[in-house]
Amino acid sequence: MKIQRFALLVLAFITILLPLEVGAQSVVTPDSVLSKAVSDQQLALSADSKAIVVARCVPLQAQLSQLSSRTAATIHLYLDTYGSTMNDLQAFELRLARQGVDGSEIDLLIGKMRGAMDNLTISGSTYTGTLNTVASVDCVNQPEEFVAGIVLARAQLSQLQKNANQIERLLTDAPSSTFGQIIKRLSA
Amino acid sequence: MHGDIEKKLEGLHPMTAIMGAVTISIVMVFIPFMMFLHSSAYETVKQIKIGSQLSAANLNGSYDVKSPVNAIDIANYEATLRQKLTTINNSADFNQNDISNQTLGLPTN
Repeated sequence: MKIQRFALLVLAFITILLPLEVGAQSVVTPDSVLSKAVSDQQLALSADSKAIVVARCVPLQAQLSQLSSRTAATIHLYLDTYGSTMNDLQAFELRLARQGVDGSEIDLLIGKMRGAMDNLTISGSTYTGTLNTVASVDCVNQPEEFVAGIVLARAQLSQLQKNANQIERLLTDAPSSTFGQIIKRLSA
Repeated sequence: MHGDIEKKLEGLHPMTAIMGAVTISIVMVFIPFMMFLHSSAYETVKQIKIGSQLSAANLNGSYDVKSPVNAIDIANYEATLRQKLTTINNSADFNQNDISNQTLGLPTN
């Protein structure tokens, strides 16, 4: 009986600890992101480069932290602008529906905008998150992580810019792709 | 008397077993839930949620959703939209030069 009870207890512990272990392995910590970046980029700094990075690191961290805050504020502003545009379009769609006019082009544009706004939010959050991580590395002991983080942030900034261009293009193309059709329909 | 105590010790009370199972289940649900709340995925979800709430709140406000639309309304809105887009400057706001090695004064090789 005692053995059975002990076996049950061990089983219960394993049942709890196994998912915890798996979960802990899958959690991506900021440090692990930078360590992975160093390994992916096969980064090795020469003694001279390391000395420069260590010397520049602390003032740059303050600069990167400010850049992160500024970028987050800009993205917020962009999302406000696109969000209000989407509301304008939704209002047009409702008005068109009330008068029995097909406004499916607007619906399509709103759907595309929603997806593009989500992409912009995610890429913005990833980029500013990386900048904040780089801004908090140990400058003396982790110069490779600092440099690898900057390289990673550059790639993420490129993605952010692509996403920002994508949503802007949707709106600059709207007169021909969306509004033109509706104007034709309303004028007929 | 002594035998009774031994029997009590040996037998696992069903209520205790149930309570144990419930406790284990709560722990198993609670820990991954806390891990999710502290993950970057949840941060992103929160940001998207704020955006959606702002958008929904704005639509409940001063938007005209009843009057009929004329072709001229759409044409006017095109001009408004063009004006609105002038405040957007992707290449300046998300400039690669901001974090280039040259700008940051880092080694270029």
